[in-house]
Amino acid sequence: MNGPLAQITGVAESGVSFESGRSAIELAAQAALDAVADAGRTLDDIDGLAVSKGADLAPADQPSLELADYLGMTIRYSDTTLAGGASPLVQICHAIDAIALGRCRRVLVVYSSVQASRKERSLGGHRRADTHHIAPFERPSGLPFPIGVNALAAARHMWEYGTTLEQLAAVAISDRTWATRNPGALVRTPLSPDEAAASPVISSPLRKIDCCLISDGAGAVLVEAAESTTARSVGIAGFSDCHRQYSVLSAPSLTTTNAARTGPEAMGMAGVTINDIGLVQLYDAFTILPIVLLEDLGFCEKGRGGPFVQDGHTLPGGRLPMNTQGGGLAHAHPGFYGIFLAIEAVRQLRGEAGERQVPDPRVGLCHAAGGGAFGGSQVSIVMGGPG
Amino acid sequence: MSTTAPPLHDLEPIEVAHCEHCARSYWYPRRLCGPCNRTTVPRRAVLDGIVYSLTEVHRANVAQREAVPYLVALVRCDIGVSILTGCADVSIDDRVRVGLAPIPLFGIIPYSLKHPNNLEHRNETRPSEFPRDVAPPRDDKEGIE
Repeated sequence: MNGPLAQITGVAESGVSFESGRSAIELAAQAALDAVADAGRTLDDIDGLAVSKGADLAPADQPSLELADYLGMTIRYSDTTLAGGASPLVQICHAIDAIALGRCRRVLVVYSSVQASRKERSLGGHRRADTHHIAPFERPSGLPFPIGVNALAAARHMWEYGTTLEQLAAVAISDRTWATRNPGALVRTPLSPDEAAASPVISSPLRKIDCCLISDGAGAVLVEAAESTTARSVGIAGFSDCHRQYSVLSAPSLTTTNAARTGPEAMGMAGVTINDIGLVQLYDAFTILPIVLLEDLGFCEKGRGGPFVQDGHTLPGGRLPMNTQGGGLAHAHPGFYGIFLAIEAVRQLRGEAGERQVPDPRVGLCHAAGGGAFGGSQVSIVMGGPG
Repeated sequence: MSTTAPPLHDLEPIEVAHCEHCARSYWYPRRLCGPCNRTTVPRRAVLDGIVYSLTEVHRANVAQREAVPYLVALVRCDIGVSILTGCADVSIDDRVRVGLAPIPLFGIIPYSLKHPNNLEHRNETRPSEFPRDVAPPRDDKEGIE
């Protein structure tokens, strides 16, 4: 494995719940302060903030500045990149670049939302704002967003490769199994195949159990320079992102994504192969997504993602532990879940994951797909052991 | 309540933007062909295409809540545009004809009906990936003016 390009020195989450009773800015500030403390730093050490424009700090038009103001910080680096659920991981990549250029020393990447408390979303989905130029052309058919796009992807995957409802459910069963070992997960009961089969259809073939939670929650990750090691820092050895379609109408495919590009690139940069990966954190807004990502990242042949999960490889004790905190399907999903992928990978690679700790995972791969058009934005990050 | 399909001959033409330089078409309509920087021309036609994927919606937004369950198809039209359409009684890889039709609770929307020659098509080779990324423009450099 190649030497690190950056270090993650601190991580924290706050307010993960179905109704936090707190504001998004307060949760963001709490996660930020906890991540700084986790790194053994003080707020004075931090000179960069990255808060995605989708974080619903109110009114969220300048979220990084809003958080800096709230915390009384003067920052030299401000990033509000919006790439859907992938935003926080894309912002980690940007932070690595900025630190390497010497524009700043330490960047806090923060995401926060209280969308469950605000009852902004439902399984029936929400619609893009009327102001968006593509909305009048996506909307009339009544496709719910974002589940409908994932339902179309799942239906096509089943048609092309014979993926089954039981295999989709296996992703949820895997996540729910891991969540029973995570005291911070919001759904900690295991899911049986019978329960999955009885789950009501929302947008076929996806059922309720195929959909992520809708929760409150905030997360923060502190990114520092490669040489800024601490006893508990985790190195980032490779990263890659790729952005394609904004609308499902422009998607070249709904069964293959640009994860097929970012995964090999990030692993190549890190000097590791697929066989070195001991842990994956894959974005799972809907069960079809990890199945496609496992294929595109190279963990199995195209079309075999369903059988791969159904065979139990992603479960505790399996050869590729996946979404060990319970993922977006069981841990939490306050919108842009990407930040929680990085937090859990760091906890696992530090060996601090408690009852769900994977024995010696060595190298972890985080991958987020975001944007709502079945992975318009793709980002892969490879992390190594401490130091 | 499911939607009732209109008769095939009632489908009204859909407007797409067409670039006469690179032969790309766009739905939604736009004046500029981004890849080759030329002005597009509007074209109105009932389109033929293939159902790429299909979902039956059981939980919907406020506007269509009374219509559930209803079907939505993502159709890849022969001219190279994808359109989200209402439909009834079609399946993935079916050959369809797409046009505008008034659908109760939805308004005037793109709607897919099974193509008259659907059965012949089903014996042909299955379509592969969407051709937009594959078909190169006739001359890329010429487009930069």
